[in-house]
Amino acid sequence: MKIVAVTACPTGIAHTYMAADALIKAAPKYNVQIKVETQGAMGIENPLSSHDIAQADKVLIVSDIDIDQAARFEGVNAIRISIEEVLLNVDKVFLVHGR
Amino acid sequence: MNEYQLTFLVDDAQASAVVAQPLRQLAKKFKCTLRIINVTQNRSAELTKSIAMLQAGLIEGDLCQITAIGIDAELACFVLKDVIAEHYTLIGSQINYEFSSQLAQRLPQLCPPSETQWHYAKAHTELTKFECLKGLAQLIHPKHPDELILAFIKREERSSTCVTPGIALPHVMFDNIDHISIAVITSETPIDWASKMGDVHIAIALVMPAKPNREQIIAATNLTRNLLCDQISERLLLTRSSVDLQALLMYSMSRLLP
Repeated sequence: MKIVAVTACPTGIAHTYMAADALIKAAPKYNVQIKVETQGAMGIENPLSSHDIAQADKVLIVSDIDIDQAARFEGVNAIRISIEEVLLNVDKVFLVHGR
Repeated sequence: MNEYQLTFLVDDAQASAVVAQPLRQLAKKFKCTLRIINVTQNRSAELTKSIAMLQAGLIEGDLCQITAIGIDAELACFVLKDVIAEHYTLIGSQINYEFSSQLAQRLPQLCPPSETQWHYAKAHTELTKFECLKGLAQLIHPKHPDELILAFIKREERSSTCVTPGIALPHVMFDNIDHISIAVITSETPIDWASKMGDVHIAIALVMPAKPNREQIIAATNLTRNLLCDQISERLLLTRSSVDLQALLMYSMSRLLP
């Protein structure tokens, strides 16, 4: 299964990168290939191309704010998750969305 | 039962060979359980085992702790301290060392890549989340804390900043400063942080300049990302000495743990 995700938070120094790390660390356990774009204090890193988005089985938007370049995800069934959900129980996120 | 710790940095990997035998023999004389924890590599071993030092695998630059739990734990740490100080760089080796910006001068190997101001307080009464945020702001800006309190509260309203069980990380960007400020409040009584992760025992306030440079962002994100390493959050929650706590935080800012 292929998942792409975007993480973003208000300040862009803590939750953005923590959520990304948590997702990347847990993904192999659920046989999920994941690419995570971080929108933090360092700008957009590891950006998702339209190809990445089109190829993905699921699109997760992990954020407590409006993300940049949201137009890319129009017409895609993107799932919004709060940062806290990922940090609290990343396994649950994969159990629900990773299959 | 309380855990006591010795925190030290390894600057000579060869020292393990010299120190292993005397440490093991000393450890056997105490009733408490003594462990050696290599925080950097996330490895630990019981100090009374003959291969403990091998298991811990100390290499140059590692941050380690010896922990003691039991009735004579404090005494054990007191005795082992001299052996450790002889071969490694002990962090809090004198009574008058405090949580301060001086630690960076004393131990340059711990130094995060950008200038950081450090503040610390231990809560002696039960605190609410607001009181704790107020305390953190007062530590950083003793004269004009109001704006900072407001910034913290605004951030909390978006979502709770409890990042891992027991640890909250209120963080904001702030105008008119050019360095990172970190204030820490530890509390033995739990603080309700309005988070699903539960109560908080240590609040680490991170105040960044409004336009941080790359080094500052890396230092800050190193710290936040390292909090996801179980051994870091566990050590932060259990470490008693404020200097050791600061060393752990500085170390976490200076590099991303594997």
